[in-house]
Amino acid sequence: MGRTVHGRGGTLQEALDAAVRDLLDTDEVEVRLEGDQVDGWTGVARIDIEVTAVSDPADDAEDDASEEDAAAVEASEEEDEQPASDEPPLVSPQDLDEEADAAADFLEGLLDAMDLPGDLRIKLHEDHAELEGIDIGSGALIGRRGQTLDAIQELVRCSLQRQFQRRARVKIDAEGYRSRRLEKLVEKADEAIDAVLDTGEAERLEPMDVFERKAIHQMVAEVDGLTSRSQGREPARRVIIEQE
Amino acid sequence: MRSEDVLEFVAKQLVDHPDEVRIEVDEDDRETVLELHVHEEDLGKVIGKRGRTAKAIRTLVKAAGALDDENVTVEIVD
Repeated sequence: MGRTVHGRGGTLQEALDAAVRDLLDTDEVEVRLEGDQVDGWTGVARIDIEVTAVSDPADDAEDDASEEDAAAVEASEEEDEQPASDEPPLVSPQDLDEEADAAADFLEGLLDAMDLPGDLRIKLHEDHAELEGIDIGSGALIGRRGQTLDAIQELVRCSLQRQFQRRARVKIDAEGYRSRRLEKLVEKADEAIDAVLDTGEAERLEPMDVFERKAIHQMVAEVDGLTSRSQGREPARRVIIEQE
Repeated sequence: MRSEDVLEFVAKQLVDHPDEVRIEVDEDDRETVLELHVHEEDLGKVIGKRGRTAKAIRTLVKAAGALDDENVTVEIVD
């Protein structure tokens, strides 16, 4: 029945917009203001609200899919029980900056310890930061099928978690490996979408990390009549594409 | 030795007591065993849920070892 989502924003309206983004088909919502606080450093108001759909047309199965919704919506779930469903919560630009800096320190220290050359490139996106090691001159940070890069990503995540006590949104790449892989995954997902539309049968994609899954969920969301969800546990978590 | 430097660096990034990170090296012709010692409160941090962090540490340290043609194993000790 009632599904609860959380939204966060600089104003009550923004938080509300963020929260109801995936409850579009709902006629009526109940809003509960959980508390507000003003960040002392930036003076930015942060309001957390909880929105419960009173008449929610979505069936229960879709709760599973809520993790792939827009970045601003945090599903109310216990982190410990579902370590794998870690789709992005909203991050403020200041938080993101801070996380990207810390991740850059990590990567610089790592290059130093490995005695490798290289530069870092940081890109800040709306809901995550991208940190790329370039001109390293070898695939040492990538490894076979990206396994070294996966390990670095995991260790950066742990290190930032310890420093900031929150789930950080920094994606690590080396020599464009991730973006090349994402392009290939998008191509394959395109084929899978066609196949589901053709046959009506669900397609299960290869295991992907959280950023890749999010990109695929967004792709599927733009296709009428199809829906997607994630299944399995990291690092074997996969996207399933199926008919709505 | 790059594998040892990487292990030390990474371990210190993960723990609350970086001063108590210590590495013992045991080398023979075939392989290098790096024994990682951390403060007991930090043990969970270097192992992680279902050993996920430990696995990532091993992968990365092995990659660093490969740069020096070393076969490296990491053992975590409290």
